[in-house]
Amino acid sequence: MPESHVLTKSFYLISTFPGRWDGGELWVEATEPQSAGGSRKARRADGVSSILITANDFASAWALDADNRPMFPVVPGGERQREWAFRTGVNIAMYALTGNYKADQVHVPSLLQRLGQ
Amino acid sequence: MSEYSIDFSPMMPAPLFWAAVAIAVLLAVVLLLRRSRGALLRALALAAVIFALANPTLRQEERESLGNVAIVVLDRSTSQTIAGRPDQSDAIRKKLEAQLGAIDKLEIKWVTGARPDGRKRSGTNLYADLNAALGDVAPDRLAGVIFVTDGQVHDVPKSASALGFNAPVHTVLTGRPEEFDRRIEVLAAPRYGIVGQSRDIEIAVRETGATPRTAPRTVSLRVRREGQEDETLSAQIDEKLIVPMAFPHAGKNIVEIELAETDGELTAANNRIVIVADGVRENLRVLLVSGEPHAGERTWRNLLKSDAAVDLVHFTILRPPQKQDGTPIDQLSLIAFPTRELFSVKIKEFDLIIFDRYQHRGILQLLYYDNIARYVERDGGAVLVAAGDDYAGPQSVVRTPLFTALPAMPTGQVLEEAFKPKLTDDGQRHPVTSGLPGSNRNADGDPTWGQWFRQVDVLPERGRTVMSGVNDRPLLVLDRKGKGRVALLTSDHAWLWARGFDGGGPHTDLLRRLSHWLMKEPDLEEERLLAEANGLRITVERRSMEDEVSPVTVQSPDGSSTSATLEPVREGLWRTTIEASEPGLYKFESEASTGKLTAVAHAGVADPREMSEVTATRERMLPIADETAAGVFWTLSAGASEGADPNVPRITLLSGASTFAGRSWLALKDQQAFVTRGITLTPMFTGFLALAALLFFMTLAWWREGR
Repeated sequence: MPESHVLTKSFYLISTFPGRWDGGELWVEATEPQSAGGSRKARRADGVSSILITANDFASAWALDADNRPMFPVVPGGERQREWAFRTGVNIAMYALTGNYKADQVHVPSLLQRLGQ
Repeated sequence: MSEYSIDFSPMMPAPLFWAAVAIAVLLAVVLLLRRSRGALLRALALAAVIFALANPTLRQEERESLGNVAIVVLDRSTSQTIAGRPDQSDAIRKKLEAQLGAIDKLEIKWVTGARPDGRKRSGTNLYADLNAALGDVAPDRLAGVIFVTDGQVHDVPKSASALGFNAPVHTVLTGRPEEFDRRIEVLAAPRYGIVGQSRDIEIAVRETGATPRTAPRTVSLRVRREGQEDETLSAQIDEKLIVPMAFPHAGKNIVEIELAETDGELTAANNRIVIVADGVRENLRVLLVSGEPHAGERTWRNLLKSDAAVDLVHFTILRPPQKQDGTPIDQLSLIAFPTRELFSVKIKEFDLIIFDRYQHRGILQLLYYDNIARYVERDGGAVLVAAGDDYAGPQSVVRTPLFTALPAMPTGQVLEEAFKPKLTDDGQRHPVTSGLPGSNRNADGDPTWGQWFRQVDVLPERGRTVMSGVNDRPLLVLDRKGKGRVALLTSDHAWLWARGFDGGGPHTDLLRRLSHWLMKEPDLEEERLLAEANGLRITVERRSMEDEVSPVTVQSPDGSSTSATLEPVREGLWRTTIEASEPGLYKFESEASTGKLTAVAHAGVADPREMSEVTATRERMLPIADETAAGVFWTLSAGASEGADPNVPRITLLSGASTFAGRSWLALKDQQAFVTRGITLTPMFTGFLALAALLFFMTLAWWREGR
């Protein structure tokens, strides 16, 4: 995943994506080169990855039992890692719903400025 | 007709024959030099032998004269339709017919040249028509060509050798010497312009021919623009004039400039110019406000992002103000929603505001909703509400001052069941929904597209319902509010079509047309009058939501008006075809419920070359006439009245002449062409005749010797 990917800023600002484990890579679909992308379907036009692959086992970090207690310890550990795991989950959900919306926000100030002219 | 001639065909091969001739001549010379007796008689005997060997034959040919062909090319170009020229050329034709008909064995071929068909290249191309006619005329029978034209011919060959025949090329001119004409020349004209802006047309008034002394140097020009009062400008001859051309709408924009007719001017037909230029819309600005991240958001976003004509400003309420937790702000990727900027300062810059599942929740000050309602009604803006269940709830935008703009009020009920969106009767006709792929009903009476599952129940108060859902409850309501437009889509499930669920549906078409209708795309107007010219054939189309349409008034370039009735083609579409009698600007007008509809079409290829110079002239036809020893004749004197009887030169047929034209006569060249039907050959000096002659001379020689 490129460092500036939308997933790093779709809701929370995050730079690592821990789950039950930390340190594993997060993989996203490579954006196709423009020349080969002529026949891509319309709903993929925003280039949102349809699959994410990681070795960090997100689900185990999110899993809570009936008493809202975590079911699995996180490694290397700490509630901070679990918090980041939850944030990762929120970002993934936002990414799925809003697509590259956040990537666009960078341009908003200049867009607004252009409006007056 | 018979022709006689004598042929020689020697009885032996030519070299032997010539050797025999040489020997005979040598012998005769020797005999004569030695002055021997009977030398002359012997020489005669030798000559008889040679003559017999030469085998003279009388040849009798049966010939048939083919007669001559004259081609008369009549110029029927547009410049021949002015200033009494049609009558004049008809009179000339009659006189030519009479004169040429009196010439024996002359075949006359009439060619109608340069008749405008609205497609050919520009100008009068009489030589092209002549060449076509020459195709079935043998060049050695062609006695001459007579052009009847005003002399404004645009394809005169550089030299007579290019003609391919040897015969005089005469011209009988229509019109009069010293004609005078004024016209408008276009120096520069825009081909396109941005809607709402204006570009310059540069023109100049030109004159040709002999200007009468009384003609004023200042002329007045009338500028006619679509949807504006006519404007009068004054201009000097040959002075550059700049006329601004406004682009009030997208598509074809037409400006017409007309020069007032001057007294004594040949024609007013070229005093009018028409500039056609495409209006191009500036990028449309759309503000998309998503009330919360939801599944349909990316459908809207991708549609608008991929639309090249749209600049999208998108905001999603990722976290409403009520939901605060302890997360430090620098760990959140949230930016403030610049409400004041968007909804107060720069609201008029947007062409369309879309509220996608938006709920009030105190995000915007109530004042801003008021702004939006005013923006629609007074400034001609547009609002689209794509409602989810929120529209029925307590935070609905209906409970804000925006409600005055909205066409339908929620009942509070949300219908959550499977249904297929259907087009209503209005929807079958409305340009936003008409002909959507998949809308055709299948055997069960349902459209073939996929199902949706949620709809907010509303009571329509205004506007037109073009789609319906559960139990025919309104699904898509369109409304015009003041100068602006409002649309309400009572379901947020259009994205199911995008995902291909249950077969999917035409979400792109529907949402794109919907947003462009809101932004007043002229192609999507409900009441539309369209005129499209193809050559001289004009198709007039009328789209309407009504059951009947009023007839269309057609104003021809000459100012006369007629009425045309449109025939129904299918529901909501009427059409008729008009054959234009002359090229030019046709104006169409029709009444509609929304006001007067206008359309303009320019029939025929504008032929600026043809009508640019219309004064009759000798100059163009003179070089070829000189080269072929022919003439160019005026038929009227300068200042003759338009209906005067034309003088056609006397016509004769000459053979072997070197000049074919005089002051008041013209001649055709008698080509004396014939075909040979049969030949009879009679030998003249063979057999007993030759033998007798030989014996006679020999005997005579002996007798002379013996004395």
